[in-house]
Amino acid sequence: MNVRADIVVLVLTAGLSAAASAYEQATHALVTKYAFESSPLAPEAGNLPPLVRSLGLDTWSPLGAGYDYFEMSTQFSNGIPIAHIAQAYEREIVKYLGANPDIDPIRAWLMYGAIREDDNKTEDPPTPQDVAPGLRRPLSHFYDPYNNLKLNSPALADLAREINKAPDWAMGSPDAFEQPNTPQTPRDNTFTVFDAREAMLRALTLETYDGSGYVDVAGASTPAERQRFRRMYWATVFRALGDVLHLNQDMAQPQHTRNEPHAGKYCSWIPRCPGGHSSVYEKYMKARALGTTAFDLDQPYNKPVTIWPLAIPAGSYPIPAFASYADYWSTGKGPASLVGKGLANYSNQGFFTAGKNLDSTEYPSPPHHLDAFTVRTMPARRWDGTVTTNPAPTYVLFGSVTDSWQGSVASNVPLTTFGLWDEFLEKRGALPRYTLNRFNYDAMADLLIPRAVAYSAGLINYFFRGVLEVTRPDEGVFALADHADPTGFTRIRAKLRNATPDFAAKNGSTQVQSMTSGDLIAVIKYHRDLKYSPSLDGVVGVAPCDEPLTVVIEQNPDATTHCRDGVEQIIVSPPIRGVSIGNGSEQLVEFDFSATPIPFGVTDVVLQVVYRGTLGGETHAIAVGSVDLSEPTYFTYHNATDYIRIADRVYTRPEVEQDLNLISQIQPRSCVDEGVSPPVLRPDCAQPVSLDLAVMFDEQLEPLAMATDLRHRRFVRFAYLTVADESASPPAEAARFARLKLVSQVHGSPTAGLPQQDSTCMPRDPVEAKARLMQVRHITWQQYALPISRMARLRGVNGWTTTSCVLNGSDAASETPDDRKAKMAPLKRDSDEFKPFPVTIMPKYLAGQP
Amino acid sequence: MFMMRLVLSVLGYFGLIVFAYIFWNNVPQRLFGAPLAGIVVDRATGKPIPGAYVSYLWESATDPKGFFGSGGRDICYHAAGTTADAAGRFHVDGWSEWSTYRVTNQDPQALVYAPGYEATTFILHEGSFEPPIPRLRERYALRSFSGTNEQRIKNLFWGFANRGCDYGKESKKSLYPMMRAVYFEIRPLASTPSEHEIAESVAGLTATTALAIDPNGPVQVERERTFIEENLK
Repeated sequence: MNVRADIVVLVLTAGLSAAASAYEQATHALVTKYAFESSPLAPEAGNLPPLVRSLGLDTWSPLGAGYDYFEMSTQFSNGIPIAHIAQAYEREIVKYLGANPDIDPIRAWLMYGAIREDDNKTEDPPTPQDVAPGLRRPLSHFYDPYNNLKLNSPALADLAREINKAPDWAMGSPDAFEQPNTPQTPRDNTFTVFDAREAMLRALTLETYDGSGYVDVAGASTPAERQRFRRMYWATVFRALGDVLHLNQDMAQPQHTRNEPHAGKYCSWIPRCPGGHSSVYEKYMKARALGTTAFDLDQPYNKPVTIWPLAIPAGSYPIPAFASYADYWSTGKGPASLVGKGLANYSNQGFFTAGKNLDSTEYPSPPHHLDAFTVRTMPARRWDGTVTTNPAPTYVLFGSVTDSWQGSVASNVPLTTFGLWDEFLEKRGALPRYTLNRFNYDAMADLLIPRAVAYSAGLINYFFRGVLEVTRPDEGVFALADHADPTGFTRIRAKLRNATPDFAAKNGSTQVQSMTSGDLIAVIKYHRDLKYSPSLDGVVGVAPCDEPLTVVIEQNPDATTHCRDGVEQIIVSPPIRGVSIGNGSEQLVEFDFSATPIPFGVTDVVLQVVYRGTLGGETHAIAVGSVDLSEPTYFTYHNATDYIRIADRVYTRPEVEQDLNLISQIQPRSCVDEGVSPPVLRPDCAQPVSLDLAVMFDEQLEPLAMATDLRHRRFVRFAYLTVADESASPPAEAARFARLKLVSQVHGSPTAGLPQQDSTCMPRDPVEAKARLMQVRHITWQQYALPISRMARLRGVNGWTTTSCVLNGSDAASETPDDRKAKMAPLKRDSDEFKPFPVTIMPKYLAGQP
Repeated sequence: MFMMRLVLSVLGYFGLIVFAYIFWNNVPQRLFGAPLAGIVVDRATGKPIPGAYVSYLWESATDPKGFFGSGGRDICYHAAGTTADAAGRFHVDGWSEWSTYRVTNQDPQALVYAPGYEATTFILHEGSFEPPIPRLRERYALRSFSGTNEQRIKNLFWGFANRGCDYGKESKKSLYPMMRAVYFEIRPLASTPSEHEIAESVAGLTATTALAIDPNGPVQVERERTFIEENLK
């Protein structure tokens, strides 16, 4: 061994370890932007899409201020996260691509991840670093599906521990193909699928699973801090997913699937450029991504290359729907790779690279025999479009590229060039050789970039595939509580349907995404109503909190006003364990909130149901369903039989007794003693009655709430949670439960209903029961509507849907209006009259009841 | 004796490698730009274009530090912007600084902009990388722009206003006048959502240029917003 050999080994090691740049960061960011736009996360016709609403991200600043996120480190117990702040670096690159990071935070964080996956501790100026000590992340950006190998060279032995197959690095698994559900612990990469999943669970619930149960991960933090943490976890979800997308996009760069380092290092010291030539394709794609007219190349070229601008194609390649993450990389090894459907399979078998061109026999495909190609003679056209004056032509070899997933073949693809010219069509050599020039690279990009976009979009779809449709139970409400009891809502009932779409198994068969033995957790999201009082004297919807801009500050709905707490809080139910829901199946579930009841004084209420467990082939998947709930919606029923209706007015009994005109209108006439002068009301007629009440939605036979012996000058009030947006899907079902039916009768009376001659109730049964609303309802991230329901007052009592019953003294048609609202005197404050009379709530809505 | 000499020799060689490694890793290099001057003219008439903006960007791929350097990113490490005088003439002083940045010091690219003309990038040197040399007789001929608003926005943004000079430190502030002028031309032209977003991106890039925000520092969203509110509205 001599000294030169020592140096060579060391330099080789260094050069190859450095050889792992991938598509440049701007290219990754642009491909990710395109992928986002092809995914269900993108706005639809300018509106936030259903997936974003389902994830509960249709709120103000759902991912936080735009810079805070976590590193889900496994170096510490139970994945304690480390807080980080995004760098100006990634924000700048996003802007270079004409995207404003503030307009769509999801898109921005996906792009941030795609940029930051290239963090490399060995550069100066340094790339930003999330982990300490920094990682040479690009070393793990390679995967050769034919040989099932990571970046591989004997000279890299010293760094073997740092190098991973790209799909393993993306998953966070020791083997993404054989052990897709086994996280590698500890692991260097903390922006993996596993980390994104864990961050998602925490973002939704602020809980983690510790192996036996779910535990809070925010501790005793303030509500504002807890909100900040949840938003940071959401940012982390998309940041980590962006890293994962980057790793798949690299598979659309054939040098990354054909084990070809391309560092552009040490070429002047050591023959044959041991770190690989600088990647012309990657530098060129970056120039196209940014629309520049030139790019620089490192060794061995050491030159700028002038081009005419050409945009990168987003394409419209069909979005794959494979049923495992690893399949997006590769569905087959060895010979099976040649017909594999993953992106690595496609680029490995379909394209040559600068270093492994047609004269290389390392891979069987593309073929390395000339008869597989059509050779055409073409003039030597430089990269800037000019044609050289030298008449020596180039010989372009056109071949076919097979797409095994689509079962299609792209023909006449200029896969390589043969001739005396160099790759820039500028210098002629003495001997002809195979090169790749702009013509070849453009053809590659036309096929590869749209696939990179589509496969990334497919990964996004797959990650967020779990869909739970949340609808109301047959009783018509999610929750119900007596407002005479300050406890709040102690149980949520909902129907859940597993609406996860099907995905394709490796062999092309449908893999149904059933939920198996998982856990269900309900999350109630809300803002505190700072004016709420149990009497409803003060509540959002009552002056001074009955105008939208008194409740929310227009420029910043996160800010607290005197009406509404700007902080969004959550209440999380205990899990329901061991739940299985077949694909397309529906199941009624009941979540127990008795330990932390949902208070009445809340606005902006949303119910999210989180499933965590096996979904299809993924064991710790997450599925989410959300429904925008009404604010606690009050139904109030007044026994106002201390009033008598005559014609279209109401009167007290003394008023009637003193007015002969009124007595003359009393019906039935048997109630008037006309044997005396002047006539008087008989004592047994038109006297206040005590009532029994049952309330239900429409055709439901079982009452939601019942009151017994409700005396006059008393009222009952119960609260319920229903769907806020009646136009929400499924609209037919929402509309079905829009009316409350009342059954009231004189207490102790054997009759089924309250006869009209006994009373007249306004409004008449069935009662239109609109949802009570007060919420910031986002149309886009920047635009929102602010529907606000104003409370109505009757007898000094605030309520939402209110019915009152008075005695019917003149056979007035009950549907005609009268003046009771204006006429009836307020109930006495500081007395029982002003407190709701207790009602009996349907037991299903009370925790601990059968 | 032979063994001792062999061992000393190996140790010597090893020390040499270690020394070279440390030296290679840590020695700053002098980065510089030579003086640049010239004239901006109308390509059709040859007449000077007073007030044209001329911005130079010194760019390079980063050369990894030490043996573990990678085929790194392309960065801009210095910027110099100026405006043509009434005779269309401009001048940029040479500059020099010591830096640990492992970049290849070479001639910059020139970005030239004037309202009504195509925003154009000029490559000062073609062929192999060479150190910068004084170029005092530059002549940048701009073609009149004719096209739609959409084409104009593309011309001004892609490959031009979206270049920036991330690692140019304080020098990138010199790009501010041109970025500001480009922004104020783009803003009223934007009509579609994507064009408005491009306009907002340019506003953001203009702000980060003016504020010389360090790319490896934390994002400074509020500073950016405040700057835009105060200077670009």
